[in-house]
Amino acid sequence: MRELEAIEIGVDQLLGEAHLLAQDGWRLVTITCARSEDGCEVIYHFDKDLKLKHLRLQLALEQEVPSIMPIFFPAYLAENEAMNLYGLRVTGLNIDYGGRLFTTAEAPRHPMARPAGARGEE
Amino acid sequence: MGVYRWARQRSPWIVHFNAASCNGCAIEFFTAMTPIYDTERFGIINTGNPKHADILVMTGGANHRNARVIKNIFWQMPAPKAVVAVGVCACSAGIFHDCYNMLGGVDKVIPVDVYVPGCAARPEAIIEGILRAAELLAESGGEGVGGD
Amino acid sequence: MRQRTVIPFGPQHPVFPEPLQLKLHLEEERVIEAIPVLGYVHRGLEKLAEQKDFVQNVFLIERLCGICSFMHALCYCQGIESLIGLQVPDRARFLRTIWAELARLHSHHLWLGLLADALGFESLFMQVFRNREIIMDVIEATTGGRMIFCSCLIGGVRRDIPNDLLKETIARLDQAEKLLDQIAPVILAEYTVKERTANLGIVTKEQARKLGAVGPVARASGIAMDMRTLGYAAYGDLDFAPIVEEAGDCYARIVVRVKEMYQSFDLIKQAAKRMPKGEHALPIKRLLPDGETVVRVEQPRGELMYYIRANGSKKLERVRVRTPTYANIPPLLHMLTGAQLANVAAVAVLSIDPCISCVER
Repeated sequence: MRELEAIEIGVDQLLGEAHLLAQDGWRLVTITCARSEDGCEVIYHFDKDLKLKHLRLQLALEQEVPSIMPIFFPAYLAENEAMNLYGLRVTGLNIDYGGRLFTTAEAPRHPMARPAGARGEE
Repeated sequence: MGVYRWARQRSPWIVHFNAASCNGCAIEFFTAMTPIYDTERFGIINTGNPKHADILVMTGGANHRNARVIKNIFWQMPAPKAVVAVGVCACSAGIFHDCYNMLGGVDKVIPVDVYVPGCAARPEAIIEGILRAAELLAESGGEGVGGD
Repeated sequence: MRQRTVIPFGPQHPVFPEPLQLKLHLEEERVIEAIPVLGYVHRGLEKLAEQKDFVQNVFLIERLCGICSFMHALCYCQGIESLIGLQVPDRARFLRTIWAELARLHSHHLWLGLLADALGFESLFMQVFRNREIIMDVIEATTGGRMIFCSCLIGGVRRDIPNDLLKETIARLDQAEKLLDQIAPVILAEYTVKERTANLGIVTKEQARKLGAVGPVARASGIAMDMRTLGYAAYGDLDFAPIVEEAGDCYARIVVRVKEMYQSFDLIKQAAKRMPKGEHALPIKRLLPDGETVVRVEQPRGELMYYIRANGSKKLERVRVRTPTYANIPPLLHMLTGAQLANVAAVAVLSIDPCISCVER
């Protein structure tokens, strides 16, 4: 099993860490959201001079996470996407699509939140 | 054979809409407009305005958000009109048929006259599809403008 | 106070082949704010990738974007290969480089054609597409497909390019390069093109960094960022340097892309010259991917990133795709703010070479 060299952080450390990275000149590549056993896992990928750094955040179900958009503006698409596809609860977004970045009301609400074929899948 | 029939067959104007497509077919459609394939020899002109168009060329399948747009474009076109679905995605949503956000082919939303298969459809096939649609146009309707 | 109007730009727009909608907030003719509305192409590919097995996924991933399908397959295959610990044969690495550069060439030609069309330069649009057909012919001769190559597989490439075909390929590309020699000065030196694009949509180096610009957008703003310098495929063995311009305006982005077209011709020739002998694919036998990885390649539009997580079974747990246009949307919004409405379509939007099907997947 090959794991990503990611720094595990808590939700309260996120903004502080992001600030430090921004001051150091790191660029936000993207934010990945994935399912975990009990809730959700968020990985923030940063790049500087072609080197990567990852911050990993474990979230319980329905736990809120602050937006890093004030620090890294490009985060807004990825955060809105995670809200849409995974039902991630991001607070403090300046541009908020209301969890409907990609899908409309007719489509499943949070399509990626459950594995395919799982019970309760719309 | 009146002048309408002749005109409809010889100079179909096209409006193109790219729905949930990977761009492959859309780009091939553009290629069909350019010198090597040159659809203009058949009088086919690509217009941006649905109100000027006789044929709607659809690439990509219908999803929940673009279904409204597809209908909108279709209903803005004056009759007689024809729809050409280019590529497997427009025909049946292809590889994406069981994706959560897909409705299926374009025919789930609007009536389709000609299906052009292929992933991506080749420019020759696209031209063939458009010409079939032009024949349908010539056969359809009465002699009057807007006959359906 | 001046009156504000909101103009929906797209999803069906004559100069723009893709269904991107921009809500443009205007004060008279000036754009005050632009808000993208996405989802017209959203299919749900990332979820589908969790349902199919990892070998089938190659063909699914290729259909993520028809223009840069090879790059997606390449990036995905590199990720899986690193997870199952497979070293691709040398010949496959070089063949992948050739196809990747051919994909870049046809993508840049397409962009140049669409830009010319958007500027109202119809004859240039036709010229560029005529030239592009030579490249499409080469692609078809070597892979069998025009848009979706299906030539990259896990463990190598699906088919070899025999040496005589390789020779012919180079001859055809020489022909295309000569034709490009006629077109390039027209777009670079033409007064009308310069008037419409210079000093427009400026993104400074600092802003580009802050907004996370990638690819030609970043390079036109003076950031020498090119994922090919990571040395994946055969790029480590070839001589090249990222093409950088300093001005950061639309014209600089045109210059970068035109120079990159010449660079691609050069890279293909270098790769053909140093093409090693041997196998072009390895069997993957019963190897299964396990663990997680991040892979990056340079697409025609910039940095493409895949995050792949596997659990030792045939099906992957997560495939996350971050495409270059996704990263270039914040710079685009910056460029649009303050632009004139007439310049929105032709200049600002096309200068990032958007690919919406990539963004929405």
